[in-house]
Amino acid sequence: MRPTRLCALGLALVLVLLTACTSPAGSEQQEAPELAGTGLSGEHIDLADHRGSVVIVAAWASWCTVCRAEMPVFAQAQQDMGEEGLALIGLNLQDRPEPAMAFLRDHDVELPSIVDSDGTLSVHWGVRGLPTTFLIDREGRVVDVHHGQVTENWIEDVVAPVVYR
Amino acid sequence: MSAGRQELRAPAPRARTRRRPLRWVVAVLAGAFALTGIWAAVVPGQAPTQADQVRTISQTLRCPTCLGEDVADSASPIAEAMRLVVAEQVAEGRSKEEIQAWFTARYGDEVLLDPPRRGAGWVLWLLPMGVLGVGAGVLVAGRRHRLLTFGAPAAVVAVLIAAWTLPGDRFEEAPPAGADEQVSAIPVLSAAAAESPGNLTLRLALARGLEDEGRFDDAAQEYAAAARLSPMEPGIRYRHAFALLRGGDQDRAEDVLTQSLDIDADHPATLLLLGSIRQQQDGADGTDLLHRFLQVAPDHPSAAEVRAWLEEED
Repeated sequence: MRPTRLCALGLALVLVLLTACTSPAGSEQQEAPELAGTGLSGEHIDLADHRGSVVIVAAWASWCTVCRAEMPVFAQAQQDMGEEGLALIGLNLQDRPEPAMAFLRDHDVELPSIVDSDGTLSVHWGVRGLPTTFLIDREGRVVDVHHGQVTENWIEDVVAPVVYR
Repeated sequence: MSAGRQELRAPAPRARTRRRPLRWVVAVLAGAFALTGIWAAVVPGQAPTQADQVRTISQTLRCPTCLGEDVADSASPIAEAMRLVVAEQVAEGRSKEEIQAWFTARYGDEVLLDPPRRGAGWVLWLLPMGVLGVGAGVLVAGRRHRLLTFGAPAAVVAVLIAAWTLPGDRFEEAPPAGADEQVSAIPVLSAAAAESPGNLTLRLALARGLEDEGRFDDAAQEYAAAARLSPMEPGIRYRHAFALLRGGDQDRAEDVLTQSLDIDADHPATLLLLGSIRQQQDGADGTDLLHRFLQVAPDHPSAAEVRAWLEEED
């Protein structure tokens, strides 16, 4: 075999291997894991109670500075699509109750949040860092995972079509 | 002269007869070495405790928010939580492979520090072994008359490679759940740090332990003490600031982060955290800090999010 053909064959093999090494995306379009626990005010919160609604599950903490910017976005989404069956559930990660409740009061948002003081619930949901937001459709499937700050564009482009379909 | 030549030639046959036992000694030693390798690979030694298992498994998992750090050694909040989940699953009697599969289902293959050996990926794993095998074959074929000398070490290498690649769960002999109760290390670390106030490693271990238990104010004090012991280490000041932030003291956290940047203006984690805080305060320098973060750490796990965030702002 000529050296040039050998090189081309080697290059093709490397490209095939590199392509084969890429892994598929995470857990989108899969059944949402169970999510139930005690809320910041001591109430019981269970995602299963919202079957039939579109649910935004938002992992957040009062010490997460980026999380502050998305609270008004959640409040607006709730106001716009609440009657169409959009619900919000928070997953309050490794936080303390007092600053967490003060955080929600300051931002004037209704975000019933499950206390995840040791972070294990968040790991069950595959949270990598804060903020992370999951969109659950009316059938209880995870249809989108948003890493980083939620924006109005995400609400319009991703959430609204699921709510109005 | 002829007598002298005879004297010079005379030792040659004796030397040949001495080499033969030497070859056998080499062969026997190589064989014993190979058997030791097989024994070590197949027969587990002293049963590891649950804490050992948690650490060993955590060392195979990648911290999703860190650069090249494993879950066992990362101080990030999500790595703390992942260690707890590993501990829960070990206590339930799950094997290393089952726990890794559980994490892979949630975080993808990239959560494993050791890439999965499946599909075309097998080729990447088999290639070095194939090269080694071919090399050994060439060596043996080219030097048949020294088959014993070279064959035995080659066999040892092959056996060691085989032992390394053999699937096996070394944790099966672990004690049952509850036999190794987890106790807080804080009292021991506190006493040790009090006895050796200048020991930086102990001070950092205590700070991290306090942080793991959610005692952020106490952790911040210990990180501050560690920063006094090693004032030019921006990473310690970053940890101090993060503990302050988690304890609700953002103003002091900002001060400490600013000090960290005075020491190292390109410390990625500090740029990211201070940039995020300032960005939320509508400060223009927040954007500058985040742009600098992207310049110094373009491959950081958070880089894509920061990039998208800045584009959104523009």
